[in-house]
Parts: sequence; C-alpha cells; structure tokens
Amino acid sequence: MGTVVLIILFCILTMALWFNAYFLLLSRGVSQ
Amino acid sequence: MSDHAASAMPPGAHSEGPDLHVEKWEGIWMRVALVMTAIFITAITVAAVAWGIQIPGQFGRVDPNDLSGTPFANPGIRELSPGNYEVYMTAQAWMYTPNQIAVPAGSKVTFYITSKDIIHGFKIVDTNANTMILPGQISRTAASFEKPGTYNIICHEYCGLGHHTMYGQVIVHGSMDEPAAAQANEPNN
Repeated sequence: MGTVVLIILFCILTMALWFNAYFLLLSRGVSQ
Repeated sequence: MSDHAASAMPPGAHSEGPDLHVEKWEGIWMRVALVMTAIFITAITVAAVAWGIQIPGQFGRVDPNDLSGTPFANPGIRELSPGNYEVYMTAQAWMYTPNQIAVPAGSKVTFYITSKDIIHGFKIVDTNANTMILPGQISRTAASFEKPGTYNIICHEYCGLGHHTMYGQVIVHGSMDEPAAAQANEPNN
C-alpha cells in the first residue's frame, strides 16, 4: 500500500512540476 | 542467430539471454518512469514541431573586426510593419547597442545580435528570448510583448569585471499611438 501511495505521489509531483514549466514556456510564445 | 552459431553453443545453454529477475514493484517503478519520460518527450516534440518553440540558433556570420557594410554598422530598431519590428544589436564589454528600445504593446520584435569582442549572453527577462552572442556569429531570437512594462535584457554569460553592469531594456508602451515609444528609440549617447 505504501509503495502505491509513493508511486502516485511521485507521478503527481513530477507531472505537476514538469508541466508547470512546460506551459509557462508555451505561454511566452515562439522565440524564432 | 545463425545455425552455425547455435550449433556452437555448449550443451544446456539457451539463446534467450541471461535470466534477469526484476522485482515486481521495481518493474512498476521503471514502467511508470518510462511512461512519464515518453509523455515528456512527446510534449516537447509537439511544442517544437507544431508550435515552433525552438532553441535560438545561428542565423549567419559576420567579421567581428569589420562590421561596416553590415546592418550592425548602424544598429537600432526598424519597423517592418505595424507591430512587427526588427532590432540589429551589437554586444561588447559591457554594453548593448542600442541598450534601450521601445515598442507598443502587442509587438513582435526579432533581434539580430552579434558581438564585437568576446562571448556574451542575451536574455530578456520573462520571455523565451534567450541566446548566446558570439563574435563572428549572428544570433537571432524573437519575443512578443503583450503586456506594457519594462523588460530587462541581461548578459548571462560571464564576460569580465563589468559583467554585472551589462544590461539593456525593452520598454513596452500601452498603445501603438504613444509618442514616447519613438522618443525612447532615439540614440541616447
């Protein structure tokens, strides 16, 4: 049970942090 | 595997490789990480190919010791069409020329930058405009300025004792009709 919770936490945190940076970059538009 | 190789194997051996045991939950962790990596790579690929978010690159080359005859001999901002500007800019220790430009909100500005001496950096805070400036190379990067305000340009490549004083500004005014925009683009030295 603990492992499942850890995996879910890992997924949520990683996806949230990564997509936060990703959409911030997208919101600033193209640079070329 | 060819018949020859198979016949050369010792008795009892099998050709399926070593028997690696992976613990059940370790395998799940690995699959989760692999799936997320695939999602991230897919997202980056979509952004790069479909939406044009790419790393700024080399646009062309110039002789850093002789910029006469190139647009960098007369650096400054030029309006290509309403809301669409290009800026030819030079960098040297420890200044950008021009070091201040002004555009109305909603403008797209394309920067062409080269260095007269050593390697510098070019980063407009709060935008994706971020590139290195190398002597002999023209770097191109662009940014759209939707919100009025002052956007600092900073050198983020250590270039000597005055590195921390090397900066410029993009001043974004509220409307296309604001006369202050034209005044700020006048040479200030």
